[in-house]
Parts: sequence; C-alpha cells; structure tokens
Amino acid sequence: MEERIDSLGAEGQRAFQSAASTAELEAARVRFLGRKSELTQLLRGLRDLTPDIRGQVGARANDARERLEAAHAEALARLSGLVAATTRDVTLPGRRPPVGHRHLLTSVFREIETIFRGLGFSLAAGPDVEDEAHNFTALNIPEGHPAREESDTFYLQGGAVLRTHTSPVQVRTMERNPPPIRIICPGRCYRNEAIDATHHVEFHQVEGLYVDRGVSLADLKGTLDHFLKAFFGRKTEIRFCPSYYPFVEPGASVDIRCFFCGGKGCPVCGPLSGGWLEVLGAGMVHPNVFRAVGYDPEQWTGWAFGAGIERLVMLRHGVPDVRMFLESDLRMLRQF
Amino acid sequence: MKVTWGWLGDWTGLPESPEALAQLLATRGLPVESLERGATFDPEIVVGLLLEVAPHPNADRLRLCRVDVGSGTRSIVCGASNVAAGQRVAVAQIGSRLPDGTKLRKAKIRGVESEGMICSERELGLSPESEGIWVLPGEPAVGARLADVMAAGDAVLDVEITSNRADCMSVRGLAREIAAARGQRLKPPLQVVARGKGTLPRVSIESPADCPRYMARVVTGLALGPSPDWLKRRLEATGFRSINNVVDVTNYVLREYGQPIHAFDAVKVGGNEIRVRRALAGESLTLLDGKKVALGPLVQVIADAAVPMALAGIMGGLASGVGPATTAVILESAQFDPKVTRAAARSLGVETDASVRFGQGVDPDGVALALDATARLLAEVAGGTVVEGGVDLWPGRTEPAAIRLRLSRARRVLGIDVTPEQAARALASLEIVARGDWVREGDDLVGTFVAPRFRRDLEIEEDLIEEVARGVGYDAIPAALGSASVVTLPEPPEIGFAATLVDRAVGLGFDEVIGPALVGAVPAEVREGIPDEAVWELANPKSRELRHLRVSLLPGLLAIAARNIRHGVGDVRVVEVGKVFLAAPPPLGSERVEAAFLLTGIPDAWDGPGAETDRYLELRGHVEALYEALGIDSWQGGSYHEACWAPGTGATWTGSAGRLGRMGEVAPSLARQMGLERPAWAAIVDLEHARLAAPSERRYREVPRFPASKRDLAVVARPDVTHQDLVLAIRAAGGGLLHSIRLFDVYKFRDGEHAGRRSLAYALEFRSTERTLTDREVEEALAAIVRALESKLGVTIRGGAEVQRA
Repeated sequence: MEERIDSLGAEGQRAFQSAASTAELEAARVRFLGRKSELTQLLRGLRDLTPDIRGQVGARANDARERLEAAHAEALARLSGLVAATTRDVTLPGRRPPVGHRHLLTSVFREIETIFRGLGFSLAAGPDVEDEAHNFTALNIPEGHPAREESDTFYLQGGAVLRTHTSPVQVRTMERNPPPIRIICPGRCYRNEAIDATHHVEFHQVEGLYVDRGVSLADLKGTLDHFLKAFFGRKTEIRFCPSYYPFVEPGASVDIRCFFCGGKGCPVCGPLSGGWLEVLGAGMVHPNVFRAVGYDPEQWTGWAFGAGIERLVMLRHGVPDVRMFLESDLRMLRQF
Repeated sequence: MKVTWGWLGDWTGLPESPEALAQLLATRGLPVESLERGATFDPEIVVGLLLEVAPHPNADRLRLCRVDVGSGTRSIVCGASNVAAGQRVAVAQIGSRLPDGTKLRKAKIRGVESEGMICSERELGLSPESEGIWVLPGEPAVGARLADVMAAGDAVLDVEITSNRADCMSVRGLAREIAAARGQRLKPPLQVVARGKGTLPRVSIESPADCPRYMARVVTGLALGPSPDWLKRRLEATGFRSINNVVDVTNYVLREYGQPIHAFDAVKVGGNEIRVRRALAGESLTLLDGKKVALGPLVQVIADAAVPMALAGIMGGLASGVGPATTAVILESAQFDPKVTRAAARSLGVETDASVRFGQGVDPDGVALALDATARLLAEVAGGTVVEGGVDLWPGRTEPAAIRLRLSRARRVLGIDVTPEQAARALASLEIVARGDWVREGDDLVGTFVAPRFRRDLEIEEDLIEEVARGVGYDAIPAALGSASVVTLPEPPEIGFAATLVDRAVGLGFDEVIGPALVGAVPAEVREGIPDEAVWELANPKSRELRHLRVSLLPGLLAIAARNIRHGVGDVRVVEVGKVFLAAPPPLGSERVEAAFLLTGIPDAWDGPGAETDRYLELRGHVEALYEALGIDSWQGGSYHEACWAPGTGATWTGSAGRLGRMGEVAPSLARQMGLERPAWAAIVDLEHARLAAPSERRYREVPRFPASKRDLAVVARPDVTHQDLVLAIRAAGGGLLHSIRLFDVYKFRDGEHAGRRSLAYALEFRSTERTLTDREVEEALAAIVRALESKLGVTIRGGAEVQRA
C-alpha cells in the first residue's frame, strides 16, 4: 500500500508539472486530489486497518497529499502567470576563482618529509654556497680526488663552491650537535654537467642521516624499505647493490623493482638491469667523516642516504624531462 | 669502460649470456651502462672460400657453388646474383643454427643437393635488409669460426667502474671480479718465449718514490705493419683506432692489463741507457704528437745517456718513438708515482690514457705481467724475437699493510652475524689473504688480512666489512626497522614558515614556481645598491647564461612568466620562494630567502577578474591578505622608488621587524629584458622580516559579544593626502571605541569646485567589549574624528558635516 502511495505521489507531481493549461491542471487535480481520487479513497480506507499500521500508512499518505497540494499550487501559479518561467541557462559554466598549485617538487618533498617525520626525523638545512672543507674534505674527499675536479664542481671567487650535494648539511649538523642524530636535509645542489633530459646543473636532493649506537646496514635497509614503499607503493620491492661514495663504507646503490613492467624488462628499466631501477645511494658513514666532526667511530655508527628528488618524481609521475622543473612550465605544474 | 664478451672469456668462465653477466656485475657494484649485443654465431658457421660458381642445371636463377670451408669442400646451391669465385663468405654448415633459430638441414634444391648455405647479412641477423650474400671484408682465415673473426659476433659491454675500483679498469681486472663472483679463479696468462740474443739496456732510477718499479724487455726482428683482424676488432670495439701492429699491441695490453706500456726504438736510445729522473731546468722535448714542451724539475722523464726521451707515464717523445724503420724496441713497463704524474700532466697540459692510469696508480705486480704479454704479442703479430732476460728494478717495493677485522665490528656495521668461515671465504675469493688464524679477544674474534697490491682501495676495517658484505651478498642483509631512538634537533624556523607562506599563496590562487639560481647577466634594475663585487660570479661558468648567482627572484620570475605566456598560458599568477645570494661578507657571502609574487597575462574572459579590475590593487590585496593569513596584522605603507618599478608605482610595507615587502608595477625595461612584453605587477616579501613580524604562537582573542555601531564617513581631500594619512588620523582621533576602518570608495573629481581632489569614503565600526554603545558615545567619537581630519589634513567632509548612519 505504501508503494502505491509513493507512486501516486510521483505520478501526480509529474502531471501537475507537465500540465500545459489550467484545464489540464484541473483535470489532474480531480484525478489525484479530488474527492473520488485514489489517494482520498485510500485515506478513507485507513480506518479499517490496525492502529499501528494505520499510523504508519496514514502519515505517509498525508505526507504525499501535502506534497501534491504544494505541487498543484505551484503549477497553478505558473499557469496563471504569477511566476515568470525561469530564464536562467543552468548550463552556463560557473565563474571559477583561480586555483593555485604547489610546485611538484615542493609537494613531493613535503611527502618525503612527512614519511621521515613519522620515523622521528627532524629537518636540517644549510647554505648553498659552501666551503671546500664542508663540501669535500670532511666527507672523506681529499684534495686531488676526482670529485673535486672543476668538471664537476662550480667554484666561486675566493675558493667557495656551490655545494655538489646536500651532504655538507650533515657535516654542519654533526659539528653542532652531539650524537644521536636523526635528520633529513633537503636542498638544491649544483653540478657542472652537460644539461640534457636527465641532467641539470641545478637539481634537488634529500639526504638522511642517522647516527646512534648500534646503527647498522640492516637498519638502513629497513628504513629505506619503509620509505620507498610509502613513496612508490606498498608492493615496492627493494634491492641493495654495492656501490662507492667516498663518505660511506660499505656503500650501496638502492634499486626498486621496476613498477612499469614488474621486473620483466621494459624500456624504462632497460635490458641490463634485470628489471630494477636505481633510485638512490646510501651507505654506512665512513669513519673518516665521523673523525672530521669529532665523533668517535668506535662508539657511534651511522648511515646516510641521498636521493635526487627530480629522479624520484620523474619515475613516479612519468615526467620525461628534468628541465621542465626549473622552467616551471605551468602546463605541467597545473597537472599536479 | 668498454670490454668485449669474448675478451673477458679469455680470462674467465662467463654466465650464459651478456645480459646475465650485466645483472651479475650490477650486484657486484659494477653496473653495465650499455650492451651492443652483436650476433652470437653458431660455431658451425664458418668462413668459406668460393672456389667455383657454376649455373644450376635445373634453374636459371640459381647457382651451384663449390666452397672450401677449411675442413673440406662443400657443394652449395645459392640464389644470390652477387656470388663470385674468390669471395670469402659466411657458410652455415649442415646442423648449424641461424640467429633466428632456423636449423640447417641437408636439402635438395631443384633436384640438386645443397650442403649448407651461403649467408646474407640479413640471415645472420646483422642488418634488417641485405642485397645478396655477405662478402666478408679482408681475408679472414678459411675455415675459421665466423664468431671468432667478425667483430659483430662479439658483444661489447660498457661497464661503469667506480673511482675506487681502478683495479677493474682492465679486461683482466674485470674478469678477476667476475671470477670471484662466480667462485672461480682467473685463467693463467700465456707464457712468453724469450730465447733471442741481444743486449739489455742499463737502467737507473733516480728516486724510488717517483718510480717504485721499472721493467724493460727487448724485442728484435720486428716488421711494422697492419695488425691482424682479431686484434683490430678488439681495439676498435673498445674505443681504440688501429695504427700499426706495435702500437696496437701496447694499446691492447693497456686495455687488457690496465698497464701503460711504452716502446722505444732501440737504436735511438743513446748509449743503450735509460735514466728515470727529474728533468733539468732548460731541457725540452718534442712529443709524439709534435708538440714541444719545456721541462723542469716538476716533471719526471725517461732519458737516455744524454737527453730526455719521454715524459714518464705521460707521453713518449718523437725522436725515440717507433717508426716505419723500427726493427727492435725496448719495452718499458713501470710504476710511476700518481701524484708526480698528475702534477706533471697538469703543469704541461698533456693528459693521456697513460697519465690517467698512472695518476690512479697501477698494480706493481701487473707491471711484470703486462710486459711479458706485450713481448709475447709482438712476437706473435709483428714477427719479433723476444730477447732473453729483462730488466726489473723495484726499489720502491712495499708490502701491503695488514688490516684487522673484528667480527663484532662487522656485526655492528652490517646488522647481521657473520661467521669466521663466511668472512674468510668472501675475502679469499678476492685474493685477500688471512695472516694466521682468527684470534679470540674477549668475546670477539679478530682476523688479520692482507689485501693484494692491486686493491689499493682496501685500507681500513670497514673496507673489509664491505667486501664481506659483497661476498655474502647485500641481499642477505635483512631490512630491520627497529632501533629508532627519537632525536629532536632544533629546526631552522624559516623552513616551516616558508612552507606556510607557499600554502597560503597557493590558497590565494598563485601557482608556485621554482626557477634557477644560476643566471646570466644580472639586470641593473635589480642591483641598485649592490656593488659589482657583491654579485657572486662563477670562476668556471658553464656558459654566459649560467654565470652569476641571482640577487633577486624578480628577473627569473619574469622569464618564467614570459615563457609561459609564449606557451599560451593566459593568466599568470605565480609565487616563488627561494634563496637570493650576495658575495659579501667573505668567505661564503650571505643567503636570504625571499618570496616573490607576479601577476601578468590576460585573465580569462569569463572567470575573471573582470576587465575593470585594477591589477595593482589586486596584487596588493593578495599580499595583504597573505600577511593577515600569516598572522601579521599591522604594517605601514609607504612609497619609495627602486629601478625595478615603473615610476610612481613602488610601495613598501613595513612591519615590526623591518621592511616586510615591496611591490610595484614592473619597469617595462626590466620586463622586456626578460622577454615579457606585457604589463606585470610584482611583490617581493622578505621572509625573515615577515617571520619575525608574525606571531610565533597564537592566542585566542575574545570574539565581540556586543553589537557594533557603524558610521560612514566620506571626505574630500587634496591630492597629496594619502589613504594612509587619513587612516592614521582617524585612528588617532577615534579613541578606544573605534574598532575598524574600511575604505569602500575612492573617486577623483575631474571638474567642479573639487577638481583634482579625491573623495574617499570609509565605513567605520565602533564597539566596546563591555557594553552596547549609545548613539551619543558614537557621535562624540565621530565628531572628534571629523575635527581632527579637518584641522590636521584640511579635508572637507562631503556634503558639509553630514555623516551617514549605516
């Protein structure tokens, strides 16, 4: 019975709304609201029902009747010219306020920051213009080391350099604070390289440093596993391969299983990698680095990692050319 | 470094394919950058010599060929039109498999049996198309396997060698690492047969530190000429040009052993004497490349009894070099000090393969192996006879230092338990030798190890720990995330503030951009008050466009806007937060974070803002809204001029800690320099001053409980009276009840009695936190304001003293 009430209500509303003349409307009124209409009959028949059903059905029927009466009044007003038919084109587009976008590098860095803050890391920063002592010497890159060559490093007047990595921030942090240390440092770095789709003279890194008693390579692996899963997705598989950076020993390059092909081999990961993509470099802090900042390497161990933010972003979002970031092409930035 | 698959195979067993080798090397820390696959030919595909070509008895287009394949003669049916007697061709014999997988069977073609196939380049997978059969270049030996004679048959791998592993910068060194990874040993080198008679040179070394080891051999009876194909191919595949057999052999040995070898023409060595010494001031030498260099005591030379013949470890001299008439050579294989060699090469401006190798340091044991290999090869490819015996001076012989390895330390660094057996096995595979047994020290086991001389990178305990880790495999180390101690270090406050500012600006509709810090010329418009020497300039710039560090974000922002407009972006409203740099004070100069805002372009016709909008005020409003969002609730405005702004448009905001920011319409000359041809409006906020002006923490302020009384006030003011003058005067006179002053209209009279003056209309709000104000209180306050405005600023209240009740 309740379904019938509902369908009567709906039918009536449609009839009132579509009535094209007052005569048509009157006919519809008689049919749906008149003394002999089905709804009225139905209301009259309520008294035959048990009280609890009566209350329920009655409320529904009254409700339907009220809505029908309102619809009738509205239709009557429309047909008698009391309300002008609407002239608004409801399909016109809204006027949109400008929507700003954070730069993709900023968004990604914030995301990385959030992941590491969750692990108890703090943020650290340092100058872009560095001295050789912090950029090289303290990082076990002695004079004469190939990394100091002019072909890799921008030198300024007076022997200052543009930092080639964010590692001097690690050194400065350790100089100022006793262990334990647990930081990440984001920042811009500069290398004297030929600019192409994957290399730029200016790029951004995020580095992490953890120094404490009993910090091990296994801990580094666990942390980066957590980070890369959080960043690239829960199913991300990681792999450590030996590698060399003067400021760590042992050193590792860290790969993730190629998420384009699942490791089967594709143009992104190439035929030689076995389905892996290199994403960052890491290792156990070299004892000489600890000595340079006055930490006792027998007492403290630590790990460090460094990742190019642009590379992470290009991999995850499929941005094809590193130059797009500093060109700040709004057609790209507004996509994110 | 480029190596070929076959060459590595001379020294060690290899995995099933070059790809598998690449993957193995990656796990050893030696990733392969590229692989030119080459075709790997079936060994049954051999070089054949076409003896005779006859017509096929049953087909016009087919030929019947008789081919010598070394092991016999075959009769082969061939359909190619370019086939001719005397050609050397690739013959796929019965049972061989072509690169596409087809296996050759004995078959009758038009009734005649064909015992194999003469191949085209396409059939060998060497090129996508080919016309006719492949006529092999040169004169490869008949019957030889095609894979052995053609470069295309050998894969070339380009391996990335990290700078610590100079020992892997040779075919043999890399093979040694591969053998270790696969639990094998290197194959031994072939022995040299030295039975010739002749005299050896007398050699002396002035300084054992400069030249720890010097060896020489003599080879006579040489015939200079082209190298055999196999030698040319390996050199060319790995990046050398073939010159002649003698030069090629020294280059080949350099690639194979990583040891530079020099050959002197024996007859040109005066007195048959070699002196390894520092050059004397005033000496000079004409090098092999014809360049003449002046020498001095910084440079070590190889001299004969009288004059320098070569720059030690860098380049030979022209006079003593090998030439077409050379028949006997003195071969030099030596170890020169890396620092001395590097310094000399740099001072002379001569860098060679040899100087790079000696600059990294060579393996003193390899000196001997490479010398013998050179002599043996010269005998093989240049018809030489190796003279019995040789010279070997090793005054600078050192024993590698012993390194202690504590298993407890390995466990602490790696996070896994390593057994003494695992450690010893991993190290032994790399020829790192245990000296004695493990010794118990307390709870610890300590071993003593000696690294081979070729591993100069192994110096400390951690180096051995890494080798142990490589031996057990980095994969064996578990990912453990457990020992996190919470360490809270004070953070630089500007980072969080900058992030908030970016978020607020983005919320106001600005797109955040990031531009380069390295710029070309610094426009004069943004360097007012900055002396030239305070602009950082690179000592080694990459180009004119990347030469200075920016002193202002504005030019870069204009360039970004211009580029985006060229790309068809209509409405540009951008913000950048970034560092600007000054070279003072020394040594590191100063860095400051700025936030710059730029508004330009054509707003969308529909979305707005409307064409009537004053974009100067639009930008000003955005920046002031931003200040408020950051909690900065008071500042002073003011006008000022700076060359980056169009005249009369420059304005500043000054807050409690100093100048918060400045803005204006960008000077057209500056915009044009950066490629922007449209009007633009910009603001620059000093982040440090803004941060100091913003509250570090926010406290609740009571929201009003009593209603406000509103009054509108319209004044007519002389043109020199600013909005700020009026606001300050109203505030000063309004007393404690005046809550807020909002401008709602500005109008300039063009004519009439007020011509040239402005009308400014303000909505004033009076309220008390304690009670509802009475009309009288409000009228009194308003009257005080009117009096003050009239007397101090000479304004008239519009329409007499009429004050509208809102």
